[in-house]
Amino acid sequence: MKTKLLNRIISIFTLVLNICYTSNAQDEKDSGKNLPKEEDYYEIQTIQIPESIELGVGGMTFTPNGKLAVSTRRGEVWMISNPYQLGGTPPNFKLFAHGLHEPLGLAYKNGFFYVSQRPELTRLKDVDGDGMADEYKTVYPFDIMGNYHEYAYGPRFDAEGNMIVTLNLAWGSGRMESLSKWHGWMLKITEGGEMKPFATGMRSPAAFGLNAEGDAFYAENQGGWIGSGYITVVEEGDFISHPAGLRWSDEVKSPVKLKPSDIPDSGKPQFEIAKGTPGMKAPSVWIPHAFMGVSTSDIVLDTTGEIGPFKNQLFVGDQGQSLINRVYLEKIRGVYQGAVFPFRSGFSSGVFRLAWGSEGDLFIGMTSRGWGSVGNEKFGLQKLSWNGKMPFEIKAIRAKSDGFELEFTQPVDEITARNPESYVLRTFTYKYHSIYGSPMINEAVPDLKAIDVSEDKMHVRLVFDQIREGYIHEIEAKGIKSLLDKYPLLHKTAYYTLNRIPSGDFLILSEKNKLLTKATVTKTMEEGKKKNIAKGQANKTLPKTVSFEEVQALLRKHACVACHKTDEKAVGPSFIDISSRKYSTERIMELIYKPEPENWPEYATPMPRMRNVPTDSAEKIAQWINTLKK
Amino acid sequence: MISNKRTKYLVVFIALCCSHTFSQETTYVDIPLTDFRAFNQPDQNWVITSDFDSDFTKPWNLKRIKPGSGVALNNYSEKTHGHLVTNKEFGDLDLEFDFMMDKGSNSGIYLQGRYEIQLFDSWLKSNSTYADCGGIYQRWNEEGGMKGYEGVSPLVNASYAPGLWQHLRIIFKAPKFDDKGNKVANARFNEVYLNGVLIHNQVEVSGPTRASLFHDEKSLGPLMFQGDHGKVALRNIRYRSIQKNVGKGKNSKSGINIIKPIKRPYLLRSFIMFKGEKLNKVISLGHPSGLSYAYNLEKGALLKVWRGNFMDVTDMWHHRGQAQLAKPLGNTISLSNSPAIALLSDFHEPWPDSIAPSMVHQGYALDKNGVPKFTFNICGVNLTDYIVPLDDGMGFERTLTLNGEIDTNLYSRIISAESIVQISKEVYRVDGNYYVMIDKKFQSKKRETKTGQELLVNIGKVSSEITYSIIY
Repeated sequence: MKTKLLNRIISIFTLVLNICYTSNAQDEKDSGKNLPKEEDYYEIQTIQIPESIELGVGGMTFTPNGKLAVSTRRGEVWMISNPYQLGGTPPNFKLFAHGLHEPLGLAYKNGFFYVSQRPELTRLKDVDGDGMADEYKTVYPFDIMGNYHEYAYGPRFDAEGNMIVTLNLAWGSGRMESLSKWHGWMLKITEGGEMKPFATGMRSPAAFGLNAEGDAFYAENQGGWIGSGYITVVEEGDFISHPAGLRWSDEVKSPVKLKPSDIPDSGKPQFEIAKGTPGMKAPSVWIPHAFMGVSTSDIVLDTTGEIGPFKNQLFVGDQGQSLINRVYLEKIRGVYQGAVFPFRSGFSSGVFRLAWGSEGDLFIGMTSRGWGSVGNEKFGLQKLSWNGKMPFEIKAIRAKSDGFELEFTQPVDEITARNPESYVLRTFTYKYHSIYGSPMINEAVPDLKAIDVSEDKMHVRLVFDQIREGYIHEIEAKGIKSLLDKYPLLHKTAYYTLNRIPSGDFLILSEKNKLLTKATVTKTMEEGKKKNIAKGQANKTLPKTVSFEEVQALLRKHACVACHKTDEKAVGPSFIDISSRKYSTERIMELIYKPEPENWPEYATPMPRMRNVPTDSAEKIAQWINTLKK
Repeated sequence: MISNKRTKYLVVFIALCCSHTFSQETTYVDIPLTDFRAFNQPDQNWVITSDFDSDFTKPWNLKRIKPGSGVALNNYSEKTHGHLVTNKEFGDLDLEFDFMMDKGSNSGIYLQGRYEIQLFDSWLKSNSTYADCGGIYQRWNEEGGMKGYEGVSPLVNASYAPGLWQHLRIIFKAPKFDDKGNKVANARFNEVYLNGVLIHNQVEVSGPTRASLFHDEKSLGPLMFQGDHGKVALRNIRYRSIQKNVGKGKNSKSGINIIKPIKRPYLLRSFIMFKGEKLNKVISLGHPSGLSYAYNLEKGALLKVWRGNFMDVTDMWHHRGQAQLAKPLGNTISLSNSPAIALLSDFHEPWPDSIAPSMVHQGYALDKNGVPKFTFNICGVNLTDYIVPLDDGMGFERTLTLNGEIDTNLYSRIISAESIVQISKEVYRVDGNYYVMIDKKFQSKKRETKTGQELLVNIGKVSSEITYSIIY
């Protein structure tokens, strides 16, 4: 901690120095070369794993001795001494248990480890004190059919000391099903083995955690009935999204009363369906597919603020994109909602489990076996730490009756903050239907009416002509700069899920907050320069009717970019690799609608059928891909 | 009419060709053991029978050889000990058969009468040589001064006990010759499996083995079962042509992830196939000694035991592991998926398939060697099930202990089989597949069922702890 404090002092000093140079350095910064990057604030350190160990992380927890316990997808539990690699010494790995059936969760309490295996919740104890478990007690057996998708996750202890466990749906005939009891559910289980079904509507509830208030949130993955990943609060008796688990709602122990037939498969937005379906809830915070991640994984609460100025916020991993997002939550009229921000990307494998180290570092346990990730290592263990320098970020977004209030981590530059062109707001939502995923629907772009910058320049309030209850609000603060060194935001875009519009407190429009005219702004600001590396070359060969920008927008809109990059391998092959297969435009279009994963055996995650892409868009994308041929 | 007739013949001819090709390619042809018609007039030591008393504790006493057929028994004696040689000659061949060794006995199967895979009682031997069961026996060239060369030991000793049926599969390529009769390719054992365990993988042999029927090499030759070294029995002999390597499909990969227990036992939770059913709450033990078992935790059922290598977990650990199935490496001896203990109203009540609701599994604790002791709660009383490898490696010893009083008829089913033959006061031979040894103080009682026979012990009444051994 001392180092961090020192760093902070140094960074403040640097900031002061920087002010002197800002005006001269302006051009260079805008060109992108010297702009701050995530790694300037957050360092990723790789924990050395002996070559003989395949540490595909399933569960992870610290013990009171400062050892990191990791359960692996191969069924082992490793005790890792000195995971911090203090003193330049590599960590020690000792096998504590083995042979568990794909344990995807691990918790420690009072000398016991608790672990979810596919067939049961198990308690492990080292009775004779030799550092190896010798008692494997069945706390609660799960019903299973032997389907590989019937994963069990957890446990985590809730505030009352119950263990929270979730059970994944099975992959049935082309869709997810609850083949055996309580799959698609969150359960609460006592240490004595008493089980209470708690809530259902889950599809692939790979993770859950508690927020600062002690409420349980779970993370969901896109699929049938799930338009996009999200995290959402879970309260007893809730039905969330996927109706398969409702098959068991007539069981005596079920606190959920809805029946599968109560759930319409209409493709209307989920918040509309939820409004008309008592007992059903729309997600607290959507994590828009492709923009923010593709497979939501672990949730941890920042209780200390030692990894940045984000105390009481949640960090949420993403397996497929090897990154961590950050979520600010607030409760409006009794309902949780909030914003998701990018936090740190660039991890070496699929981010699956997160655990806090003793110095406020975050340990990241990873696996990409069977489910490919941008970080293309098969597994890994890394540590994320903050160097104490203050990144320029939107710290929080709060809903207001007429818009949003953005809170920043540093004072903002008033001119850029008051420039209406610094912001773009877009609203959209997803279809709620049995089909896999969803396009973005009902898009709208509200207009700004006023911008109010607070006295301390830490808050900016944006008033729009319209905000939409139930919708996701994409807030892009692309033009705003920090006061001290005129840096743009480290992450410009956030997504706020507006489940409830707060009442009252309208901003009174005045000279102070009225929108600046273009002329006023131009004097002090330069035009933002769009950076499209491929633009020049691509335009040469694209048909005149298609612009490069248009294709880029389509790739984003249809979430292609979630898995494909232009020139680099990601979850799927790069567009250049695809172009090298020399497919015709028609063939590429065909493959968009009906992918043939067998053509790319080296990629673990098969591409879903992209049925929502209109033909003319698919054609443009296909034509563009073919301009990349070398 | 004539043309019609021709067509008809043609159709028959084509049909014959097809069926012929079909049988060549995919189906097995049996060498019948109803009599010795398929063989070249063997000596009197070869006998056709249905069964006989076999044992593992001492050399066979063949006073009772049952009538019937299906089994060829070599009742070897110093006086009479001819070989058993087929009439038919073979080239490339996919051959399999069951065999049973007398205690300490020695025999062999000679492909083309020339290339021998040794049959031997190699039970419990830790380091197999070419002279052990499954070994490719040495060549011998007295004139050339080459005595004992090119023997190949099996990759692993996968032998079961004498007096039990074992299984051998040999995929053999005959030597190849050009038009002038010059050899252009050596004979080759592509793959050899003993009790389901791969023991040879693409091994060439440069010429006939010692004591072969012929000293030259040819494209074709008969099968010869050696008769002049000791007692052996054979059954289910069949063959087919070598199958082309059909792609095994992307969902059934194997061999990528193998678990081999080193020093300590490996305990694996997994799904396992048992008699066509996918069982989900199975734990398997692989012991460094080479003994393995699979156990249904939910029911306290000992599912199967085997010997040699432990487990292929490719379907669990490779990519997503879509089947999540662990595959035992080797031919397992299937026991039962019914509970080990049950509450019966009386001795005649049929044994239940499922576990009583009053019996709940509670997990297990490891002993100091890493072997688990399974715990159940049965009507409020604690019961443990402890299955430990026998010190001499002969099999497992199972101990069921009831830690409390129980006032109902609690039975343990020791054996369920088609045929249970008592071969001594305390030893039973079960379907020729394994032996059970149980002290007579436990007063085990045999009963007939619809499908065979069972051996039960009244655990509550006789003793609160019963122990028996499964030997194989």
